[in-house]
Amino acid sequence: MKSSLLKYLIKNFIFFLFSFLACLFIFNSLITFLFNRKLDYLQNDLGKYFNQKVLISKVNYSFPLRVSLNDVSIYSGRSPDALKLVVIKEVQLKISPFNSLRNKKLVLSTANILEPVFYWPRCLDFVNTRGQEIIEFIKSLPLDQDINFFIKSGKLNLSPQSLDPAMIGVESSFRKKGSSFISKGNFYLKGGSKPKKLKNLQNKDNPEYYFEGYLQKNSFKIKSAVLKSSSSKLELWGAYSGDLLSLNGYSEFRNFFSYQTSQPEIKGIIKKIKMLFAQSKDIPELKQSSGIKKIFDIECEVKMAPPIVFIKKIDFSLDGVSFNFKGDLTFLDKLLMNMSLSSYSQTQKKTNGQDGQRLEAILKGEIDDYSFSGDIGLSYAGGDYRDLFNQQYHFKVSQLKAGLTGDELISLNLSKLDIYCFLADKKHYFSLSDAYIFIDLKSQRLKEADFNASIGAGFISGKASLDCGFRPMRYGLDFLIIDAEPQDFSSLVPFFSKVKGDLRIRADLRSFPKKKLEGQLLVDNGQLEGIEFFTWLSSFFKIPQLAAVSFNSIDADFYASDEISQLNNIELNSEDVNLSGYYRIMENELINGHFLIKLSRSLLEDSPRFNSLLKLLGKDFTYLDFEFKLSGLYNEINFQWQDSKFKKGLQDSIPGFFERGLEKRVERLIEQLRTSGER
Amino acid sequence: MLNSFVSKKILLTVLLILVSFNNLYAQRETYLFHKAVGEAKSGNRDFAFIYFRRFLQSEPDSNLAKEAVFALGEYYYSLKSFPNATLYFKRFITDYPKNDARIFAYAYLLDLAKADGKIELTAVLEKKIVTYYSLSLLFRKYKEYRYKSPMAKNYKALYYIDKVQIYLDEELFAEIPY
Repeated sequence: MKSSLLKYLIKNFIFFLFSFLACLFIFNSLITFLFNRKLDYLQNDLGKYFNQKVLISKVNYSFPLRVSLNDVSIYSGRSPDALKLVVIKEVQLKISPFNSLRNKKLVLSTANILEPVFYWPRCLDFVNTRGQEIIEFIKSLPLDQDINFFIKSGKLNLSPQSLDPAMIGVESSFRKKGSSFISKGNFYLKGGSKPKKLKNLQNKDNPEYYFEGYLQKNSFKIKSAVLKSSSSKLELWGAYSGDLLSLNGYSEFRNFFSYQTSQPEIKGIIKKIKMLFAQSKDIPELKQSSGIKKIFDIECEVKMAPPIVFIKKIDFSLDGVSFNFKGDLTFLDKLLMNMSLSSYSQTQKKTNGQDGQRLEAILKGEIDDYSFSGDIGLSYAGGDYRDLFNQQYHFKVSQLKAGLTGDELISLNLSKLDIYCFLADKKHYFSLSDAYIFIDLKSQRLKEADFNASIGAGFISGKASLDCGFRPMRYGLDFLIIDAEPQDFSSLVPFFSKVKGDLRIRADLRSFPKKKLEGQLLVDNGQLEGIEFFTWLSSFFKIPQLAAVSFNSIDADFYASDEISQLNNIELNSEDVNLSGYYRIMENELINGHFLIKLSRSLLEDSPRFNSLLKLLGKDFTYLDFEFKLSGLYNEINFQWQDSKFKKGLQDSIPGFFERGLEKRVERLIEQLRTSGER
Repeated sequence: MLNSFVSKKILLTVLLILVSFNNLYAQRETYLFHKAVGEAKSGNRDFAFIYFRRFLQSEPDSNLAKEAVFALGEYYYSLKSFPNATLYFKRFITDYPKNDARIFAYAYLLDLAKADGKIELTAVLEKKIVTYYSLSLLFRKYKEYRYKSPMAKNYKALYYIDKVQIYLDEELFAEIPY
């Protein structure tokens, strides 16, 4: 009897269950159908808050209080040319039964936004231009209504125009409780393609954020806004009132350029003996430096006056140095920026009376189609004049585009870059075009960059590196220049203003163990003109060809350091003139040189002055050697004609007074040349 | 008529007196200088010093003043009164920029800088001396510059292509390689 009852109950229960599920399915389908029938109305209703176009492909209803919207696209406006701001795979909405009954309308309690893709630059544009409307909308939300938003597997598309855009992943939650708002989440890097290393990157060091604020009558208080990762933290608090955002805060971060090595400590005599006989050497344990930098006293005032954001000030102090940042950003069809940064330290004073060390930087230009064009100026006063980093630089940039490659390299592409710099009180100018720079920052110790560009008429390619494992940091630069004009580098090497031809240079620059630049240069098929020594030779011997010496090639090894600049193994080859020797300029601007010049017989025969002297030599020579030693100031060179067979023969054939007369004539001629050159 | 003749005579007499007085005065200033030079030639350097100093005090703008300044510098150097020597040689260099004897004043200052261990100043002075003249040596091994000071000392500078030698009374006083 009991079993029959049980069977009856089970049978009825199953029947009831199926009936219920059937009713539920029918109900769900019916509601879903009705929602999809009213899709246009739903799209218009969602878009009315900010007058935007919203497209939804499908709506699904799940009993009792869940609605999901599939393939949602939100645009910046309603016009046909409005741009997509965000595309969402699915939006799951939960209705609050209690609030819905109380308010007699559907009230949202939770929204799960699944796999949204935010077109970040456009979203930023939208927020900046319509920020006030967004704030008014937030203020208009009922205070007694709590809402929760969750973003899962979201992406920020940083370069919507690119076929392989760089993406940042985002997971986030947003909660409104009464008048307070709390949001938290984290970000992680996503490349266009996924190399293996990205998996590791995704699992560690993901930046997180936390935001808490609350609405007051006429302002929005920011209780805490925190952005942090395993190596850095930024915390801000303040308020947004009227059109002014005021924030205070602090930050700490691992020193990007900090790294130290340490040997593993071997304790115990037995272990030390074992170490001596170990076949493989221990590699020094690389330990990340604890070098944490702290930024204090952050004060920020930003005025929102769309389309302009006025950064009235962002002040902070780092390592006892005060920094002041200000400027403005204008969001039009292109982003215009005009910003300046200055810093001042009282901790060091130069002996010549200038106060402290100062850093000034300006950034002025525009971002259009994801490329920057404008001016970047850097000026540092108060350091050692010979230090490459303690000088004044001005960059004129045209169409700088930045991006991320699949290998996690930062890529920079510039159509034109003009570099003006003041080194040791001298102004220098370089111009690069079609420049590509790939920067590898993955290693914590060694930062590297590969680059290539057109420079003047030629081409430069090379590699730069910065070793952060030492103090001071050590830098290196290896480069090759081909098919260039020497005169393009005349501001750096004044001698090049007198050389024409096809220039090729291979060189390397190092800061350790001492600062030096060395390499080889070759100039093909060119001409030397305006060299004082040759001008004098030409004028004195009446050989016009020496005033502008055409040559097949000049090659030399060069070396430059703080103490000396030198050209060694100089070889000039041409039909009538050959030259070999060396030339050095010391730190005190005194020079030291030695040249052997071979002049061809045919060239000397053209000289009315020299023709008569050739009789001394007879006819069995094709080249005549002249050896000179040089000294003195580089712009007032002393020279001495070294002894030779020809010179001795000449001296034997002319009387003493003639020798002296010749010397005086040469002196007068040199003085005339110098005076006319100065004029 | 008589009155006009007398007036002219008086005027002429006054003029004559004035000119004589002027001459007397001029003679007196060169007298001091020449007296000093004479004493120096005779080996009486102390008296020479007194006369040179008196001359300089009475006529600092004279054409001969530069010689007196150099002489005073030499005298103080010989007495090892180096601060005073430095003062006068510096004055000689700055007040008389076109005088070629400056290289010898630089030589004295170089010697004093080396003695004091002033490395930077030594380098600056060496460069000043070395670059004072530019050279073009076709047949000669060196170029020579001579100067006889009011204190009767003979100076000689030999400029080679790679060094400068300064002689004082035929003795090597300084050698600067470059």
